[in-house]
Amino acid sequence: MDLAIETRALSKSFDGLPAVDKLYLSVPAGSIFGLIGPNGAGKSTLIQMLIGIIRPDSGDGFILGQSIRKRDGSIRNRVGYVPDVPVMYPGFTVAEMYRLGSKLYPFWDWERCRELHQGFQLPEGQRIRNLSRGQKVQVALIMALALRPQLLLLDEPTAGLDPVVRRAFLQTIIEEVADQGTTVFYSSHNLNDLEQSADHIAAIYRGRMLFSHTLDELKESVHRLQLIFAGELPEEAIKSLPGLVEYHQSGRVITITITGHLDSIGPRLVEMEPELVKELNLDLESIFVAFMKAQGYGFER
Amino acid sequence: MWLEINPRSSTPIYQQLVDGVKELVARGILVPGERMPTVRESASELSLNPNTIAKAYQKLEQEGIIETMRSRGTFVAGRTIILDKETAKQQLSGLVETVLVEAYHLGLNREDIKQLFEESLDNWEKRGGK
Repeated sequence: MDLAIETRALSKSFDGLPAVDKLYLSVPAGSIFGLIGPNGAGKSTLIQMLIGIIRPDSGDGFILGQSIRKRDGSIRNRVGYVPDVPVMYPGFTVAEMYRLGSKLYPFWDWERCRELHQGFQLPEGQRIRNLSRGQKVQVALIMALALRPQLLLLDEPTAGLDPVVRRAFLQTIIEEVADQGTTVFYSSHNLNDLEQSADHIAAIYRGRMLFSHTLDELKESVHRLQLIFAGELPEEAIKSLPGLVEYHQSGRVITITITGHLDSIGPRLVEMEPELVKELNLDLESIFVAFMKAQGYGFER
Repeated sequence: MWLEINPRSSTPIYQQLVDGVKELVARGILVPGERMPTVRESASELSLNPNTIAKAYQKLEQEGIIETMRSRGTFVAGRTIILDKETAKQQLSGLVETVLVEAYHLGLNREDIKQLFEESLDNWEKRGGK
């Protein structure tokens, strides 16, 4: 399988605190890869190392087959990057930013730029400093796509976008992948967006990989089950089940979140002779929260 | 395509697509020989990942529900498809459960419910149902 991004034991510390800690990551070419993790998990640091803004302390990484330690900037010709806070000349108009892009990027596509600009209905003559954060993100995305990228690195792109623009944004990314085979790697706290558009999900926590799966695998390998028992509750037996992530008890009802395939979990539960077993719906957000709780990350009252 | 997909469901999206297309064919809404939208068209229309759509199409093709003719596109296959028994049971189990919950609240026991089902089946067959 062709990899658009690969990192090997990639590490970066700030003031002695590891932000990215021996991270191994593989992003298949042509995928829409979602990166999730709590605030401060190292998502932005990782993306900034990939694009070459931050230099790693140790380990290595490759994007489009090129080492991220190579510092000649040539990779930027084929990688569209949209940072969480787009940096653009505040005195430039939107049209002037596009002209700058056309001078910077050798594969710049004016037709694509105009088509996207019209789609997003941005004010062409407006200066960057007068745009909202959401509008700046749109300008940055238009430029990232107009340079005809093979890889898009997007850091929290949908934060601060209104629902209409957010949809248009996701639609644009989906069509780009369908038409051009572009790889999209994007971090987001909006797990609903990812659940709809991504085919791979990786979660990082404290700079380390928590899991990396296809979304389908993830959904098939994490389950939330409700169990009702007639007699005494087999609390200890359930709590010792391998792969248990969450345990909650309310009256006679036990709700568990557990990793693994139902084929192997099922028989062990049947042995405990529950009166009723019911699988509850589990969306990506609940999966993420369950994993974070298991790591001790939560808001305790 | 006339499909309702819930990205937040525990059922993977490709599986929902496969089930959805099967259902449309079984209900005669998609007819044999009809052209299926391309992966790109479906991805764009449903705002879903193109790789996921492609995976669903692959699965549907393996199961003989759709067929791809080179350079002409993808079509609904010629033979009629009936949902396999397990899938059919799965689809019905939700409805049955709703009935059971109601029955519980109305104070019906196991035997009452069984009897009710038997009677309903008899009536159904008398009226010419199969």
